[in-house]
Amino acid sequence: MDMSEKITVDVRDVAKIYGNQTEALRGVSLVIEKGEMVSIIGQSGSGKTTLLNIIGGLDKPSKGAVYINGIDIAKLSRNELAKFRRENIGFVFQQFHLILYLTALENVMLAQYFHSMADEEEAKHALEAVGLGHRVGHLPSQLSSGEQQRVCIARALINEPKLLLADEPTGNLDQANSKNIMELFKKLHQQQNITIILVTHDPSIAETAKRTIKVTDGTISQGSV
Amino acid sequence: MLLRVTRDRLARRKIRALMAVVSVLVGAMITASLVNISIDVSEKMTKELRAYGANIVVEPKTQTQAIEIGGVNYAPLAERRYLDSDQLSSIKTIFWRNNIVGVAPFLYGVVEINGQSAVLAGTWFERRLDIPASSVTLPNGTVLKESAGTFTAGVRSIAPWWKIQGEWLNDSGTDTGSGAAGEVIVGEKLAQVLKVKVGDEVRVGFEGVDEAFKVKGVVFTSGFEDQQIFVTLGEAQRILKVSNAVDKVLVSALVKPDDELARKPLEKMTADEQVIWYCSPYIGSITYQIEEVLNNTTARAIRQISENEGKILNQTQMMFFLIAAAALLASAIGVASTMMATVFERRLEIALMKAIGAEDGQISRQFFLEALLIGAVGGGVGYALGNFLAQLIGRSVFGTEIGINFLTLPVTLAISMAVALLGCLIPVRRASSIEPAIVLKGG
Ligand SMILES: Nc1ncnc2c1ncn2[C@@H]1O[C@H](COP(=O)(O)OP(=O)(O)OP(=O)(O)O)[C@@H](O)[C@H]1O
Ligand SMILES: [Mg+2]
Repeated sequence: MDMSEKITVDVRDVAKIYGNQTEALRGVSLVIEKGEMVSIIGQSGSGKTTLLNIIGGLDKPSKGAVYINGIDIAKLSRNELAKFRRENIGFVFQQFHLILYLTALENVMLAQYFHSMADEEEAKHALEAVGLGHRVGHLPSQLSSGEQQRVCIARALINEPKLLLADEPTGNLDQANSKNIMELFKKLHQQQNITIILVTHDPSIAETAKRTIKVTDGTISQGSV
Repeated sequence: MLLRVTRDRLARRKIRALMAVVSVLVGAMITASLVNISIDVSEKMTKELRAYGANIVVEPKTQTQAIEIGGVNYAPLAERRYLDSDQLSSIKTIFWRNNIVGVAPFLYGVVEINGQSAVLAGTWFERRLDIPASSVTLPNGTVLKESAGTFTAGVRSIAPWWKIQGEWLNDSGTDTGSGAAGEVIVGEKLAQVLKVKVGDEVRVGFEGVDEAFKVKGVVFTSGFEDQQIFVTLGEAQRILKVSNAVDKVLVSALVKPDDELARKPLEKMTADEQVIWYCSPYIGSITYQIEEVLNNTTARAIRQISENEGKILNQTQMMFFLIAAAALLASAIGVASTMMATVFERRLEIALMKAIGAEDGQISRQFFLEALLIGAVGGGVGYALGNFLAQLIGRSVFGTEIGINFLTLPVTLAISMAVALLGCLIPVRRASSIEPAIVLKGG
């Protein structure tokens, strides 16, 4: 799969049904162009995380398909998908998902390890970029939730992804830190032309993106092009 | 990185890791002890099985049928033919020399003991033989060379069940097979008749010579030997005035049960079959080879029991193998269940690793590494305990010391690691099947 530099995301009529009742997504179609920065807003339980997971190939749609640069990612094998993720996608999870017994630095290095090779210096720089240069040796339990969130962001960016999927990346940050992170995202977006999909509750954060998509009850109610 | 993750994980789950280690350890311990015992005991058991006696008798070739009663040749001395005692070490130069585990020559004569007539037997007790360098020519002409060595021959190796009250005669340090001059061992029944005990003196008379001998021991053989009086071979040759003479040689050889090839007459075999026959430890090929090295002799099988010896040993080893296999299976299950619990406990972490791009192989590698560590530690400790257990079993069951065999260490380690890896397979498959999206959302 040639991802060259940029990534186009084409979501076609995707539905996701959990079990056989919960319809988390009901026919979502959406195109995100190369190098676009898009924010997704919506109420809790509207299906934002589900959509993000399906785009990132963590979850499979019950119906419809996601094409990334023209390729249906549901057709990739488990290992191909893993390779695709580590080479192209950075995830910022809503619940951080840091490994509790590894330090901030090691958590970042783990992503490097799966990608290619752990590089301590590079990992340190990534933590410095999110303002955590002084916390590299701390375990997640010794960090505030805002700090944990920033470790999570450093880990998402460490392998220079072409598509950043961020689920509430500023949910636990104060205004100053939120601003810093958003500046960082903007910079990446502008300088490296990364495609960014950003889930948020905060309208002021959503405004950072040129385009905002609103999800209501598993469908797109606004902004789907 | 992988090491760091594994190290941290093991350190954090000491109890769990310990349980896995212990389950490998138990299997390794049982395996190590059984391997040790089977190496050591198969040798010892072979010797125990030898307790049935020698299985080959070598005698001089004669035209006339010998008159033999109770193992003793009663033909007049002048007509008797002998084997040369100086040549006996060549029995240990045949192709199957390593299967010859016991050799004992006998020279008999009827003598007067304290005025009563009795059979005097001269033999080796525990004599070290120097085996000359030699070569063996196979039926197809191939010549195999073998260097010189030593071998401990004597009645004690072909009849280990003989019990002595007092002491054996000591002929170990002598070249001539004499030594222990002026000393005798008296068979238990003869001792009763003569009313002699250890420490007494007996008079041995033969053709006008009459000498005093000291009774060093009374021997219990539960055979006709209980009625004989024993001296060293050299002493018997001196008393009976026949130098270098031996009436017969009993040989104890490890043999393979006869099969179709063994029952085929030698003349009817193809050249290839002859070589195979020659190079298989059949009783027939061993007696054939003995006749090759000792001129003018006949070597023949004297009992059937030897055919079963191989089987009994194989059965014992098979039993050991099955016990060890069962123990190792239990170890693998132990590892599997603790690993399974670990996979469950770590599902979030595994899901996260997959989400950030770990392939199945990168996940399973962590478990395999963990398994190797568990296997190595469990195997190492199990090996040590297994040696200890082998000693206990050896002492209580077989009544012998079990030698520690260091070859067992790498074998035990390799088996333990393999078992731990095997135990990992199902947990690893479970780990591979973890769905990151569901687990990460707290499913
Ligand atoms: N594994 C699951 N099994 C069953 N139902 C699920 C599962 N995951 C999500 N859901 C349901 O699907 C719907 C969408 O969930 P999702 O997590 O996408 O919401 P969200 O928009 O991200 O909400 P939030 O803003 O609270 O994070 C919810 O109703 C949720 O209960
Ligand atoms: Mg969510």
